[in-house]
Amino acid sequence: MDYHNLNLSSKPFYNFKILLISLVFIYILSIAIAVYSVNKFYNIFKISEESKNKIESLNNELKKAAKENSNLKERLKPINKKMVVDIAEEINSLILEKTFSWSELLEDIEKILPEEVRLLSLSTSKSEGGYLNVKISGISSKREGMLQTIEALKTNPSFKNIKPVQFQDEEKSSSIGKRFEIQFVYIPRKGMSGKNG
Amino acid sequence: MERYGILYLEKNSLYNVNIGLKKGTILVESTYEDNFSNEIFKTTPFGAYPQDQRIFSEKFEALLKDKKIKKWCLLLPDFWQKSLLLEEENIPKNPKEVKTFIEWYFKKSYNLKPEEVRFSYILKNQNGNNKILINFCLEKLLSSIELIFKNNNKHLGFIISTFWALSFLVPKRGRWALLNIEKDTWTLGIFEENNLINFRQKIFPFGNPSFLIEEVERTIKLNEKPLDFFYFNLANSEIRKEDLLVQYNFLKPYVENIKFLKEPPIWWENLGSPFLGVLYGLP
Repeated sequence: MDYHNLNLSSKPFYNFKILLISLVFIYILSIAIAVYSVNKFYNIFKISEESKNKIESLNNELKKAAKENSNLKERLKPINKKMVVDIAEEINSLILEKTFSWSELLEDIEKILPEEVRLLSLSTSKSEGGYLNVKISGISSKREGMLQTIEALKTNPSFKNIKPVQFQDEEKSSSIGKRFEIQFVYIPRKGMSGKNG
Repeated sequence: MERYGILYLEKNSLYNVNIGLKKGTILVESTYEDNFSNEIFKTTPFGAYPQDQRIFSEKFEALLKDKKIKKWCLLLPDFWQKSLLLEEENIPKNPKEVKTFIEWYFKKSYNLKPEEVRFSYILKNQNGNNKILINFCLEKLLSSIELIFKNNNKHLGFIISTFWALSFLVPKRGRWALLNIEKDTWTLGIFEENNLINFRQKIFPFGNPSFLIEEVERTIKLNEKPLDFFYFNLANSEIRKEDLLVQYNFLKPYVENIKFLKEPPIWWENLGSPFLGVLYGLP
């Protein structure tokens, strides 16, 4: 308990020493706060200047990116679906050509070819879907040789869209056998697995 | 050198000591004494106030002529500046609410309006108990005196009662009591170091100190432990020191040491200690 507080004067004496010390302390504290504030303000100003520069460079980058984006859009504009499909087909056929194996095709045909049929020629061309069109011509000792060849081709999934092209009728046929031509689409096994996969 | 004028005012007298303080040394520069007639002050149960401001002011003319002394202290009798200690659970802590509480207490207990009384207080929470020490005086008395000082370009910066002035002289150690006996009032405070434990202030109408000592004895008995020190002061009392000394023996079972407060030898008999207390109490 501080009994000095019982003083009833309306204007009490103050301890000026304490008051003076307090004032000096407050003065020093104020200066310290002011210095700190100025320093802080300067730092903030400095940081804001740096941030401003950063923002500006980011804005420039953004503008550049937007320009590139619009260029790309401009370039992509004339490409229509058909063109994309054509390009895709072209690419597919290129892949197919690269991966196509003659020995594999001949092996596949040989496996299914009936005994009485002999292969005379084989030619390839690109199909519309980017696959390989194969045209074979053969000779059969039997009249039903062509049909048997078609049936045999159907048993192998690599051969699709099998169509008879030509059949030499009986009158014109030589004694060796009946000539015929068959056309089909050849999908190599790798191509199939690639497509399925 | 710092100079202070100390003034003691009571119903029929005015005492003044002008003091210079230099490096812890007290230099008495001058003293002054005057008497009042009975008509100057109107006495009430809560103190006194001057009936005529003009006549009252005239009494200070000679006193306030000294231009060197600007700072003044006023010492008032315990009967004029009373104190009370309240111990209640619901004493508020917010200063505004405390003020309202004290004003309400004065209205309820003494029928005193807020503008009639000036008070100061100390709020203390001791072992979970809320205690409030209120010190108060009639506003009429204080504002009349302050007006005189203001008109004479003097700063009256310290107004305290004799009991609290004396308390500044006491070393605040152990359990101790302070008894101040004045012409018409006795005040007893029981302290533990700096904390006020118990407080009594009563009108003292008897010339025989035995009644007083009986009351003091009853108050001290309430304490669980004996007191380490018991300090006496006879502030301008009509009781003789010798008569009081006879009664001391009754207090001996409850008190280790009984002491009179130190008095400066050159000042008025029995008033030296409160004057010295004021100097000790200066901020």
